[in-house]
Amino acid sequence: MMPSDNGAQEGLVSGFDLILGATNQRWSVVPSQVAPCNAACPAGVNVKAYVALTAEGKFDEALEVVRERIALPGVLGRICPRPCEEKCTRARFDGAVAICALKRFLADYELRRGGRYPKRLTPTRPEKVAVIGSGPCGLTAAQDLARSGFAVTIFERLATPGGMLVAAIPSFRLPRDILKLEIDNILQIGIEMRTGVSVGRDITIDDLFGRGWDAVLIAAGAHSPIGLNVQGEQLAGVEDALSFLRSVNLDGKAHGGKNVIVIGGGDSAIDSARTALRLGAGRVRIFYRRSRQQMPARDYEVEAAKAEGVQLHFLAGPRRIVENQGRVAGVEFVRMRLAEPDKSGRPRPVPIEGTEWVEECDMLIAALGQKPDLEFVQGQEGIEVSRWGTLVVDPESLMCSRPGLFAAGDVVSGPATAVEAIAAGHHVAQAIQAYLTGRQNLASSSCAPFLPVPFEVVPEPSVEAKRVPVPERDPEKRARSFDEVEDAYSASQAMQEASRCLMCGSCLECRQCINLCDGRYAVISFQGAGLPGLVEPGTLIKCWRPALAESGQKLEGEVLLSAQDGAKQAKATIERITAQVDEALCIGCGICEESCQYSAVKVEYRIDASLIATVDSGLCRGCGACVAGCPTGAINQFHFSNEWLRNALESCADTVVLYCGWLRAAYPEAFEKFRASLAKDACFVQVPCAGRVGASTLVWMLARSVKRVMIASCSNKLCRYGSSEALDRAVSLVKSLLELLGLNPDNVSIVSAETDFASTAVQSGKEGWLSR
Amino acid sequence: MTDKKEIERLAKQMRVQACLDCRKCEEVCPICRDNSEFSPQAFVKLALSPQPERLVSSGLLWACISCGLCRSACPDEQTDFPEFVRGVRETFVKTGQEPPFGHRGMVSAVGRLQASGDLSQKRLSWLTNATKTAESGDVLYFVGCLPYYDVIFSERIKKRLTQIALAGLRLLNSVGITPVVLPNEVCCGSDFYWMGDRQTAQSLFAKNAELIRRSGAKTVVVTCPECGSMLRMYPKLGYDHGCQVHYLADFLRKLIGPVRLAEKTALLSSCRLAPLLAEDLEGLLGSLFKGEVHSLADDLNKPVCCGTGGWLRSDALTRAMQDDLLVAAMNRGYTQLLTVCPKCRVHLGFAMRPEAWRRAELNVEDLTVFLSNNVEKASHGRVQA
Repeated sequence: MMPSDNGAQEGLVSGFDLILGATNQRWSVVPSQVAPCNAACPAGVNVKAYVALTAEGKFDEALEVVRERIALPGVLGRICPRPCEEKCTRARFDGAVAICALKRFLADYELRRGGRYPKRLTPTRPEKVAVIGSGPCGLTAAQDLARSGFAVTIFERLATPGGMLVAAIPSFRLPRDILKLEIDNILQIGIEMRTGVSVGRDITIDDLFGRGWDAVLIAAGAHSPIGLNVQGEQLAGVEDALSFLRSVNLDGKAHGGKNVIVIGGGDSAIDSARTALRLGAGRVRIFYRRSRQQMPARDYEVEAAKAEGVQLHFLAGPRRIVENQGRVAGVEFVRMRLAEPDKSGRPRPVPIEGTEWVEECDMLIAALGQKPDLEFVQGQEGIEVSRWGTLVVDPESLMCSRPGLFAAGDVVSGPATAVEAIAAGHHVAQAIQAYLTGRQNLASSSCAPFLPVPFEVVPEPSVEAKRVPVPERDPEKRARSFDEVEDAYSASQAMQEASRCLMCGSCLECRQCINLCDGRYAVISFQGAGLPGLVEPGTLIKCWRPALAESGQKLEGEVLLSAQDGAKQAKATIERITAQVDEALCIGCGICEESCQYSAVKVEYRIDASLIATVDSGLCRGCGACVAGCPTGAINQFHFSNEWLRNALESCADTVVLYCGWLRAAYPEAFEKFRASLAKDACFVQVPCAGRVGASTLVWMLARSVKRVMIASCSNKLCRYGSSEALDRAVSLVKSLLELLGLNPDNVSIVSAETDFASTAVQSGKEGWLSR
Repeated sequence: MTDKKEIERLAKQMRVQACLDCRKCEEVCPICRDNSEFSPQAFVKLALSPQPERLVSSGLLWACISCGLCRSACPDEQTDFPEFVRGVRETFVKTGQEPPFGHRGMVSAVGRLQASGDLSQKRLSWLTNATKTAESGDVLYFVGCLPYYDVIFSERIKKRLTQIALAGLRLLNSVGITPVVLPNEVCCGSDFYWMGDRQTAQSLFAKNAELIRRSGAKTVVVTCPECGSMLRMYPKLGYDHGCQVHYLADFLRKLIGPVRLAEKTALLSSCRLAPLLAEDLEGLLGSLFKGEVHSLADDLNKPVCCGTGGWLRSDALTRAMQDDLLVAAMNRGYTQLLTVCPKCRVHLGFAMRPEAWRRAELNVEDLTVFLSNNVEKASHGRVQA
C-alpha cells in the first residue's frame, strides 16, 4: 500500500507501488526506539550503527559514523570512559560489547591502510572564531565551525596541542603519534593553530575581539590542581599529579622517586602511579581516603595498575607530610571510616582519631582533582566565576555575559571526561553558529521535536559469547616501558566482537540507506539528525543489513516514515535489494556469474552435482544486471521482481521510458526537461539501474502494445554499477531482432547521460554524483 | 470462469478417462521424474475436479512439455494426453491466463510480433552466393526461427544456428533441388499451439499457409521436427497449404550418403521426429550412415526428451534432463552427439556452457549440418555426376 495524498496510510510501504505516479512529499525516518548505548553516549555517537557496520566488515562506513560526532576516534577509542558499555544490554548477560575497543580498531585499521587525508576547506563565511584551548572540546568546536564555513584560529598556551590529552594522559595509554595525527587531521581542514600563545599574557580577550574575531570560545580546560591542604605541601619531592604528568609527558622528565606515594582515587592518581612505576620507582602505593567501591577511577584502569604492581591502600587520609632535610620523607595518615553519604552521594570519610601512622616515601604525588585555571581571564569583561571556580555561561546560549564570548568544556563544567568535552564542543559550536548567523540555536531545547521512544524490550543473546579479549602486553614487561599497553583488535576479532551486539531497538540509524538510495528511491532524512531531504511516498528504503533479508526478521527493519508536517505516518520495512535465485528455475548456465560486476554471483555444484547460481548478499549491490541476463527468469531482485516490472509495464502507453534512478537523482532538472520533451502520456518507469533492463523485457514490451522504448541510462563511464555494457548488448540484440522483423530498430533507444544530460549536470555541479 | 463443460468434452474426446491406472506413462514422463506432484493422472483428476483452477495455483497447468512420450507408452492407442493438456490450456488462456514461456518469453515475443502485423522481414541475410533458392517451385524449405535464434542466442552459443539452414540448402542444392525459401515466413506456431494460445497460433497458421500455397510448392521440407509436425497439422486445423511435409534428411535419404562415421556417434532423437519419417529412425540412419549410430534411448525408435519441448520451459528440471543426456553420452564413450532438432541443439549446447562441461570431449552437432559437411567431403564427385 502506498501512502496517498488523501489520508493516513496503513500497512507497510512495500516499496514498489510507488514508483509510478509518485508525488512529492517530505518524509523522514523516525527510528522508533533508541538503543541504550546511543542514549548513554554524551557525544551522541550512533554506537549501535557503527558496531553493526563493523560486524559486517564495513569498517570505513563505521568509522564515518564515529567521526560524525567524534573527531578523534583513535584517541577516544583508547581513553574513553565508555559510558555506553555500562548501559549495554549484553552486560546483563555475558558482558558488554567492547564498544570502545571497536572504535579503536576502526581508527587503527584506517591508519594501517594509509590513513586519512581530509580535504582542506575554504571558509565560506566572513566571520572569524577564536578558540582558546586545544583540548577535545576546543578541537571539536573548531572542527564543527570550520565545516560550517567559519575561519577558526585556535590559541594554545602549551607548545603542543591537545590540552589534557597531551598534558595529562600518559603515552602508554595514548601514544603521542596517534594523538598528533588525529589533531593534524582536524587542523588540515583549514584550522589555524597558534601554539605557545598564552591568552591573558600574550594577548587578551579584548585584543581578540579588537583584532577582528567575531566570537571567542574559552575552552581552556581545568588545569589548576586542588591542593592537599596539609602541612609540608611545599617540600621538595611533593608534586601535584597534573604537574608531574605534564613534566613527564611534555618535558620528558625521566626521573621520579624510588618509593612513591600517590594520594587520590581518580584516573590521574592511577595514571601518576603507573607513570612513576615506568620512571623506575621500586615501590608505588596509592592511598585513598574512601574504599575501593568509591574510587572514581575506572575499574579496568585500577586492575591494570594492580597487575603492573601498584599497591592500593584504602581508608587512609593524609594528616601531614614528614620532612627530612627539606625533602619529603613520608606521610602521616589517619585511618578513616565511612559515614553517611555527602552531597556527591558518596559516603563521607571521617577520621578515626588516634589511629595515625607514618608511611615512608621519597616522592609524594597529590592527585586530588583539578579546577579551571582562570587567572588569564581575571578582570576581563563578561567573566563571571562560580563558587566552584568555573566560568558561568547562559545555559541556553552558552555565552558569558559579554556577547560573542563563549565558554565550554571543563572550564564550565569542572573536570569531566574527554567524551563529555567533545559533547560540549559540538554543543557550543552550534551555539556560536547560531549567534554568528542570527539563526535559532538548533541545539537548544526549544526546537527538539524528536522524542525517542525509550528502549524497552530486551533482546536476549541466543548463544553465550564472551567478549573477545583486547590484546594487551604482559604486565611485568609493560610496567617498565612507556609503550602502549593495549593493542588493537584484528579485523576478524573486531567483526566477531561487534557481532555480539544484540542490536537493541529497531532501525540502526546507520543511514546507510541514504547512501544506498541516493535519490533513486528515496531521499531519506533522519529526524533529529538534521539532515534534510525528500522521500517520495511509498518509497523503497533499502537497508544494507543482509540479516534482515535472510533471517526473515523483517519487522526489525521497520521504521516509521512520518511526513514532516507530522500529520501522516507510514511504516516502511527496511530491506535491501539483492539478487535472489529461484532454485527450481536456475539451470546453472553461468550467465549471471559473467554479468555480475561484483563477483556476487557464483555458479556452484549442488549436492546432487547439478549446477546452481548462488548470490553472496554481502557483495550484491542489487543493480539487476544478472536479472536482465538470466535466460530462465530464475534470478530476481528482492523487492524488484520481473513480475513487478511486467505489471508496471502492463498498462503502459505507446512510449515507455525506463530510467535509471541514479541518473534522475544526479540530473534532476535535466531529467524533468527531458520528461517534458516527450508526449504527455509517455510512461516513465524507474529501475534501480538501466543495466536491469534485459533484452527479454524490451522484446516483451514491444510484443504488446508498446511502440517505442527509451532507456535513460548513465554512460558506461558514469555508471555506478558498471552494468551499462550489459544494457548496450541487450539493446543491440533487440535492435537486431527488430531489423530481422523488418521493424524500425530505432523503436528502442538509449538516452545517454553524457549526450543528453551532461551539459546541464556540469552547470549544476553534480557530475561527481555519478562518478563515485 | 473456467469452461468446465469444454474440459469434460476434451476428456471424452482424448479418452483420458479410459486410463487403466497402469502408470506406464509415468515411467516415461520426463516431468514426473522430477516433479512428484505431476502425473498425467494427477493432471486429469485436477482438471475434472470441481475446481480446475487449482491447475493454475499448483503450477501443473504448465508443467507438461507436450513431448508425447506418454502417448507412445499408453496401452490405449487413442488416449491423447498432450492434446488434452493443450485443450485445457486453451480454456484457461481464454480466461486471461498467460502462458509462462521459457527463456523469459524472448522467442514467443518474436512470434507475437510476427503474428500481429504485416511485416516485411529481413530474415534471409544468412544466404550465400553459393546457395540457390527460388521464389516458386515444387519444394519449399521451411527455415523456421533459425535466423532469430542466431540473434537471441548469439551470446550464448558460438556456432550460428542458421548453419543448419545453410546445410539444408546445400544438401538440397547438391541433389539438384532449388527450393523455395520464403522471405516472410513466420513462426510455425507450435509453441503457441501447445501452450494454448490459439489466437496467436491461428494468425501464424494463416500467414504461413497462405505463403506456402502461393509458392506453388507440393512438398515442404523442414530441418526442425517441431515445425514439421506443426505444418503437418495445418490442414487438419483448417489451414490447408496443400503440401506433403518431410524432414529434410529423410526426404533426401535415397539421394545422399551413405556417410562413413569417423567418430563414435550417438543420435538424440526428438519428441516430434518419428511421425515425420517415412519409415522409422533406424531405417533412416541405416541409409544415411555407413557404420552404427546409437541412440541414447534403449530403443532407437523411441523418442527422447531434451527437456525443452519447444520453448515451453527452461529450468532446473529441463537442465537436469539435458545433463543426464550428456552424461549418458559421455559415459558410453561417445565423442559425437547428433541432434535432429535445433531446439535440442540449442539446449544441449547451452547445457555445456559452464566450465565443467567445456573440458568434455563431446561434440554436439545437428544432423543436417553433419550430413552437409560430410556428404560433400565423402561423395562430392558422385553428387556432381
